[in-house]
Amino acid sequence: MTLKKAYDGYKAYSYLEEGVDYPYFKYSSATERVEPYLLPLNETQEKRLLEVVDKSIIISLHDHPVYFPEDMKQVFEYNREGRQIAAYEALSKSYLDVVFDNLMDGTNTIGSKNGWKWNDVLHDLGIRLCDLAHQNFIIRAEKVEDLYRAHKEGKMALVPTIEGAAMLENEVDRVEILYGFGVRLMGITYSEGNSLGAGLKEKNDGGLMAQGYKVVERMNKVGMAIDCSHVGDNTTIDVIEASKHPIFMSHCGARQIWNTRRLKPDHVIKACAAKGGVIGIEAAPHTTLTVNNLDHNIEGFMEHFEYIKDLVGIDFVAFGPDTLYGDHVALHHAFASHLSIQSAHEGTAHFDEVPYVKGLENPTEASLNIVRWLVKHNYSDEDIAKVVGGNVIRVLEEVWV
Amino acid sequence: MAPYLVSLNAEEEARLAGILHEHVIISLHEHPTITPVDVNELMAYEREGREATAFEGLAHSYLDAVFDNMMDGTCVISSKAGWKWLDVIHDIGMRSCDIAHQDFIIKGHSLEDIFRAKREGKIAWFISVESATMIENELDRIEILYGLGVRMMGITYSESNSLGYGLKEKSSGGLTTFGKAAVERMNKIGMAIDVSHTGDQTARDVIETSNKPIFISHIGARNLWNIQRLKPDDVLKACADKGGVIGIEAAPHTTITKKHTRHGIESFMEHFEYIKDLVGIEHVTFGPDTLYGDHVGLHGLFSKSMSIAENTAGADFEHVPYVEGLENPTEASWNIVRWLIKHGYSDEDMSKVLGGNTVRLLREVW
Repeated sequence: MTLKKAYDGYKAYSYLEEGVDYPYFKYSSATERVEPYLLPLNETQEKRLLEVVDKSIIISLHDHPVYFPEDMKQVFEYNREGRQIAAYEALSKSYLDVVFDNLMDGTNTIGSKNGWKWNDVLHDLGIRLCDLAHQNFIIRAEKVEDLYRAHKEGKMALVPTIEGAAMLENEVDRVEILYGFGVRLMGITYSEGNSLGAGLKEKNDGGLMAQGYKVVERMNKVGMAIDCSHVGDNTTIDVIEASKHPIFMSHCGARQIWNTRRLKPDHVIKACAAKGGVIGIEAAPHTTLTVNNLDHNIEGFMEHFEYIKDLVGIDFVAFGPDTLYGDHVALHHAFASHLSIQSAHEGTAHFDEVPYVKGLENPTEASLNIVRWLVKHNYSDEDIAKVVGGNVIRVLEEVWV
Repeated sequence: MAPYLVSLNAEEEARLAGILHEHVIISLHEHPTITPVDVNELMAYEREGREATAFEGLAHSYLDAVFDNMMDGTCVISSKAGWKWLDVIHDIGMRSCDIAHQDFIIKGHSLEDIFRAKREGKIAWFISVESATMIENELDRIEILYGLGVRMMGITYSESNSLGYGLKEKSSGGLTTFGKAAVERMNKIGMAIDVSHTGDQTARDVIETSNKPIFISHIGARNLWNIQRLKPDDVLKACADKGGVIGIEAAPHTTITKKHTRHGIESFMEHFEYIKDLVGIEHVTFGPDTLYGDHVGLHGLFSKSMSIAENTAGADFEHVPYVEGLENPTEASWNIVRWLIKHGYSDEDMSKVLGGNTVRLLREVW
């Protein structure tokens, strides 16, 4: 089923010859790697669903919508190529009008095993944007009007996002250079600390550093949105206070219902919302678990959603599933140290690993089931419109130039 | 100093208005940025990597689209020698960020942007990098540059690089193996190719290797003025034979002629008419290569890294403080159109040389 009328069959890098100009990898099936799961609805709900999808701008605040090799042992070689395969076809089957594409983030190991290199970040961004420029289904979103246009024209808008700022080193001007290349949302730190502040894995979170204050200020001036999903608690509080504009925590959950560093404590969530910020719920494997749903799935994910919604109000929540097209669990194993997986789970109750997150296995499935779940649970049209995209747009209208 | 305007009579002025309204006017090669009044501050200014786009100056021009060739040989952000990958990116990113914060200049990605700019009274801004030195031996960098907005690239600057020989070389080597692969990759991606600064043989090799027509964006005829900086007839013809388009250059002390040894619009137009007669009106346009500031002073300062002496060595010529009639992108745009009207060029021919030829080539390449 192709909901997005403007998709014309384009495959990534069609202007080059696969296997000649760049290496061939055998990729996972995008949406049928595992048994697809569609949240069941009755007839009335299915009808309502279509109306809701038609009316609302649906935004993923955080995803990695690219295909991965079927054999995840090849992922190092794949990433070193710096040429990830955008999932145009799979995205065309989603409900998404907008996706915040977080590119290679901590697994950007083009030039260094340690990732987060300025040149590598530019490489990833440039190659992906070159590909985007060769097709018409996905447009590059630079302004809020692009998001509306995508919805209107049956297209999708992609917002290049970098979820950490380590590649800035001590060069504040790099904020502008990234903005010039289309980046419209950036994380202050990844899970590791950098020259701006402490990441969530740090035991000593001394807050935002002097360099960090300069970068926050420059991001405000330039109109680049700020993300604190991976930032330490104290540093996040400082960022929220220092920023003139509301910020995002694009992909996280509530530590109060699942005690890990990776999720956010109530006081941080409240501070973000108090300043008008928006919190996106995360679904990467083994993040938004709960005591009631120890096998990571959409129900546990939505428990985090409802908890945060009840904590700060429906105007300050959204969804940033943080999924990809491939074996995400295997990727986590391969890149454990780059993604600080172990420290992100410190302190939790015992849980068993799942092979995949049921209902939120990839960006397409996540978009379908999130809206279906909201319809099934009788959220009003108005509330659905807010959480699937309206809240995000409200912040962007203030932050983006 | 007082701007120079080619004078037109009332009838010609009326024609001018019609032409500006009807036709797309494109500068194939400029550096439309403001530079410091004090040329001694120029190095520090360039090192900042934050050149100021001349929004107001461009607004007064006749241009609908401009190919901005960025800092090129003066991109000395991290190295006096220039042409460093991260410096080139810094320049492109910084300017793009600025352009993104206003609505008059549109960052151009495709032909449609030119037509939209004309409709909306704006200017389409295309990024061109006049050499590929910074890609070193990395083919993927061509795509990265394209993704970041670059739509035209020169194969070499006057100095050689890993792709081939620049025009300052005394030897006659051509395109390297890597250069050939780069040309093929540029064809596949749809990036326009420029050989303004390459050596003659390299230019010939590029024209032959490319499966699409190419530009020589800012050049003149060596047969009229015998310096290395200009191109011989056979290269100009080879370019045009393959559908290419040649832009006439006006940076100080380039397009001089024996008849007009004082560089100005008359000598510039002599090159235009010579090349037009050589290859046909379908294969010529204008790439003035001007800036807002003391261009002669800039040349003096950067003479070594831009091979100014080597490129302009030849017969005796008058040193001018500036090129009269083509002093900056705005003035150049006025006087080029006005000169063509004054010399009785038809609407059809003007439409071709002012932008139509460029659009035709881009339709094939982009």
